[in-house]
Amino acid sequence: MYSVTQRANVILCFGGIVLAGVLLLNILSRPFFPNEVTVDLKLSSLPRFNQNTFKGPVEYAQLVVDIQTDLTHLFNWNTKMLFLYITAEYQTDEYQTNEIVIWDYILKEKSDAVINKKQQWEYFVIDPAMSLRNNTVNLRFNYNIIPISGLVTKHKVGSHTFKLPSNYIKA
Amino acid sequence: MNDLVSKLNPFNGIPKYQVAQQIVNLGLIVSTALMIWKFLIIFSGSESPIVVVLSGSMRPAFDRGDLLYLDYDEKSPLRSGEIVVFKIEGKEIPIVHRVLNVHENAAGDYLILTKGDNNTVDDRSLYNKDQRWLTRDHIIGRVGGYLPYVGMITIVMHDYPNLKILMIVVLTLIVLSTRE
Repeated sequence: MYSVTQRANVILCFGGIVLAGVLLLNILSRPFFPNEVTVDLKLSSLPRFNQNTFKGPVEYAQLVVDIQTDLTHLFNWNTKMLFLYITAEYQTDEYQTNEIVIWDYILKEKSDAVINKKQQWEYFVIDPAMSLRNNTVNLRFNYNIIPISGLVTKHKVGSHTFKLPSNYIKA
Repeated sequence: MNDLVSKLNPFNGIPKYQVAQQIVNLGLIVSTALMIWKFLIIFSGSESPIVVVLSGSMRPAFDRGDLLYLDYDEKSPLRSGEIVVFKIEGKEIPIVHRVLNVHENAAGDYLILTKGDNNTVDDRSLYNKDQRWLTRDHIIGRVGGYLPYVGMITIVMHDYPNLKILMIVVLTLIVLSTRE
């Protein structure tokens, strides 16, 4: 009746159920942690704005941004890391929705979560529709919460709107 | 010799009706697993709702052997920063990467560019020759949940295919020869 394999089986099953229960409680506990984030985001400079040929004509702009925020309270018992990124969002006649990531950052330590970064830039805004001139661009700050286990969530806060010039800027 | 065979035979001493019952039990286990899988497909809307990460290109978020739950709603818009799983024509293995750029027109047609967090450049070199963008058809799911390490057994079985057969044989024998 009580063989070794049977006992091992019961222990494994029960352990699995307990772990799944703890995971469920963990996921359910998330709404109780504060998740209000305020971000100060603005365009610092626009060093390059021109057109080029990349398998067809494209316009590109280099948006350099300043960012200031405090994400310390997002680190709780189920936060493995935060993935931060800034998107440039705009509309053109051809494409109604355009979202381009211009900067991203992997935040792993709670001690580094007070962010005050100036003159940040990583990726060009490259527009295949050639409609960046005179266009209004909205900068948004986004973050993903990667949990130790559980749900991966995506959040969007803060914005800064500006208009691109009507003429190219040559570096 | 016959004596030895009968001693080693795990079914020795079990009545025939009980062996039949164990076969039915085995069938139940297999069909339950299949039912859970099919239910997950309906629930998530993705053709493969559970995937195992096979590469380190999304480190440190996801590592080799981590398990991901995918959900997919074809109507909900796809936006930059979402972690998606996509499949390129002519390539076997789906890739888990993050959406870097999105262009969507009024008809709902997408141009999508992806990049792995741990890669220095975007994914254009992974796409087919002369393919600049992914479209919505390439995407098979977006990452909704995450469990670390659970998929490690799949990685081991993927690396040593014979282990898979050995495991199935051993598990089947255990299930069939269990005495109540």
